[in-house]
Amino acid sequence: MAQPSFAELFAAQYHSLVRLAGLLGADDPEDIAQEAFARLHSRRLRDDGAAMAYLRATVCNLTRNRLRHLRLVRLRRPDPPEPVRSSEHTVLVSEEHRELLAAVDRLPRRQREALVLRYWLDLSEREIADAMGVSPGSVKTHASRGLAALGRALKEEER
Amino acid sequence: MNHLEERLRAAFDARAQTYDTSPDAWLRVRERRPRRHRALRLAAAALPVALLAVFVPVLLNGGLGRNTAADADALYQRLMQDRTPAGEQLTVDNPSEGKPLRLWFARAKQGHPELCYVLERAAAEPYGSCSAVTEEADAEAWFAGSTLRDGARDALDWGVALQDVGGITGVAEDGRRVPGTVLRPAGAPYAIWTVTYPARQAMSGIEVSDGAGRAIGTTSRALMEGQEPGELLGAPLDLPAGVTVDAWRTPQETTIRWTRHGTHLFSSTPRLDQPVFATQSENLITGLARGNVARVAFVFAGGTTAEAETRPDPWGLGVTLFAVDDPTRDPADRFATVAYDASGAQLWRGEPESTDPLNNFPPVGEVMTIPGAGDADNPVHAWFANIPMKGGRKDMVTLCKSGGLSAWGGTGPSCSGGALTNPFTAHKLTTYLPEPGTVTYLGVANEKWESVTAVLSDGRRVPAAFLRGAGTPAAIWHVTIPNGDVVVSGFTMKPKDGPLERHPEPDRTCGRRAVSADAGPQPLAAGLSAVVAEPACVAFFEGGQVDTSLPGPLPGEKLSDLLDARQPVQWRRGTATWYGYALPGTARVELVTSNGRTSTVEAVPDRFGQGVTLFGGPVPEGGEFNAGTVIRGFDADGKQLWRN
Repeated sequence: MAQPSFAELFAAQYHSLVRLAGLLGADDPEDIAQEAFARLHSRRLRDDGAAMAYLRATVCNLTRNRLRHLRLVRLRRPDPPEPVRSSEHTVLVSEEHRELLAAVDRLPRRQREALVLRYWLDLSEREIADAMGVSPGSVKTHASRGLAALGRALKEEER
Repeated sequence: MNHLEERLRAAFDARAQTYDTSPDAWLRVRERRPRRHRALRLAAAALPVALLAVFVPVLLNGGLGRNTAADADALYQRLMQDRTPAGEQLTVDNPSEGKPLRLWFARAKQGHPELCYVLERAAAEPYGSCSAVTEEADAEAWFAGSTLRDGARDALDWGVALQDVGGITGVAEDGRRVPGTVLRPAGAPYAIWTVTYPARQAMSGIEVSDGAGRAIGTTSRALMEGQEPGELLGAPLDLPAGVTVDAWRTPQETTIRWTRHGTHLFSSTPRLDQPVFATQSENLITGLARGNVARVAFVFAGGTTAEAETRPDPWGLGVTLFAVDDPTRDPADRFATVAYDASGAQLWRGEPESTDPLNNFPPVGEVMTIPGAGDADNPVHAWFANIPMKGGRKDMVTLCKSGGLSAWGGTGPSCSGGALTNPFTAHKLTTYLPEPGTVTYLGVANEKWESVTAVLSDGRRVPAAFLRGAGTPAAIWHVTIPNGDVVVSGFTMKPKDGPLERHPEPDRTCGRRAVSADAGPQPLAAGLSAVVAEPACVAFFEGGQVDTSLPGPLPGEKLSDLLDARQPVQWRRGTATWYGYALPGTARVELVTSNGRTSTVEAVPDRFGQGVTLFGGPVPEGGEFNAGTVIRGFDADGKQLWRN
């Protein structure tokens, strides 16, 4: 049975965490988000903020591990992994974003995480560092390298 | 923000919109715990043998025969120094130690109720602590502690129950049932339950019954145990203060778990971003450090210090582990952490976090005081935090609040972020002083909202006020009621350009009211039945289990008010069934699972005057309920009425 806050937190954040897992490239974002909540349930955390930080970090970790697993199973090119996306998603995302998102999908996983956490969740560098399990300095590095790689990829597409 | 960053935000937003969620996600999360529990049980079977080899060190901090009633009294005095008793103290027999276990409720400095205990041990010093009583949303009784330890023949679990609970039955992992005892300390705000059982046959949960002996719900033991998935990595390590640490490995990750007598304290991965990570709970400071850290000191404001010798983890994870009694009484006390190597040289010092929430979450704009909540000494504050928003994005805000006990059970500030266009969300804060205290709900107000109204369990409607501090990025809505028997059953929200929205809150008394409803259950297919018990309660029964997770009608309203063309149906997956309620006129409901399995069931008008149809049936064999599951309703002529 859930504590009130657990149910509240689930109602308020589940959809967002599914989307986070999806943006990070998970092939089954709901599975990732549900596992994150199941793990949260067995922990005592300081407050709601700590719970959200835990959930974000767990989603990042689980997605990373899942992608690593898929990479090994499917013997695709090792880094970056090719995300598994349904045709439905491909159709739903409009044409104007497709090139950019394809470039995001090709980024190394750390760079992709840093960009999603910064530009979709609008987290601070410290929060991103907590979620990724790296130092704030590394966040800057991953994000700037990711942006640079995207810029290069888009220029190449335009040629 | 440059053009690329703008495009990136837009692209992420567009892609995020494509991820939908399945309707039974909440149930899926709840189901995951028992599965992990079974995995743990297999691993735990090896525990007694493994523990034999390492049991002696557990006595390090104790000293045989040293503990006396005076120690327990001193511990009691220390725990109660900043607390006041709330009801009489109970002393129960602890079968694991052959010594008394003291249990009592107290009021903390902020006035909220806590359950306290002092556990005397046969071969070590006593320990104890006080923890805030956090009521569960959908249970009337829950676990709080255990005496379970290796080497003891019997064990005792204890917990908290609402006063209306009639009885508790322990349920072992093999299904065996053990009668429990419900104790009602005079003057206490809650009842205390205990279950004594053979230690080799640990409890998996409790069944809760009403005064007539009817089952009204179950509560899992999983939350208290802090179960971890995967395989146990070798023998557990015993630390001072009665703490045991073990490690679990899955193909994905390794988790270290700290417990004391079967009660979960803390879990962590072995990863460290700084030389020491320490946490306070249950009057303990526990944590892990890098492999070269031999000793850790915790220095509190005022000079109080605690020191812990670390132990290398025996599982080859490259970290050291520690546990030490917390020398302070208030878990809000912060400390500096100092790490030393084996030669005594200082390796690192980490300064304490600020205790001022406004330092940790700097406000943007005015800090708002919620009128009518708390009092001058304990005001409830809300503010928007100045969390750096890369690119200056204007539609995301972080709302922080402080001054009461959050629904999570914490007394510190809590913050949550989201887009201004997010759906309606209510945050709850309870204050207890001056008595009886207040219950405040608040949230970010979208400028397109016309009104928010709290619907109370006695049918009254209380309009929320809107408040916008100077310089804040958005307004908030807030509503405060006295802390008492009348609770908020839900909210209505009226957008300026749309129909009224209804947002029911969970009701933990629903199960008890459903089993005793005069009308009795309405039978459905597949052995299912359903009951509507006003106010705010709809329950479905499957094989003796009651599910109250579907939203019930707001007081004074009907279930049909929760349904419209946009939300034509509410449904859940049960253990082997699926069920729910739908718009009137629905005669047949068809389910197509995410992997293409179908099931079609009849829908019948409800007999409770709720203006809906009820339906239920067996889950199609092999059916999976992931995103993509479709449910459709048809009228008696076979015409499709709705799709969800």
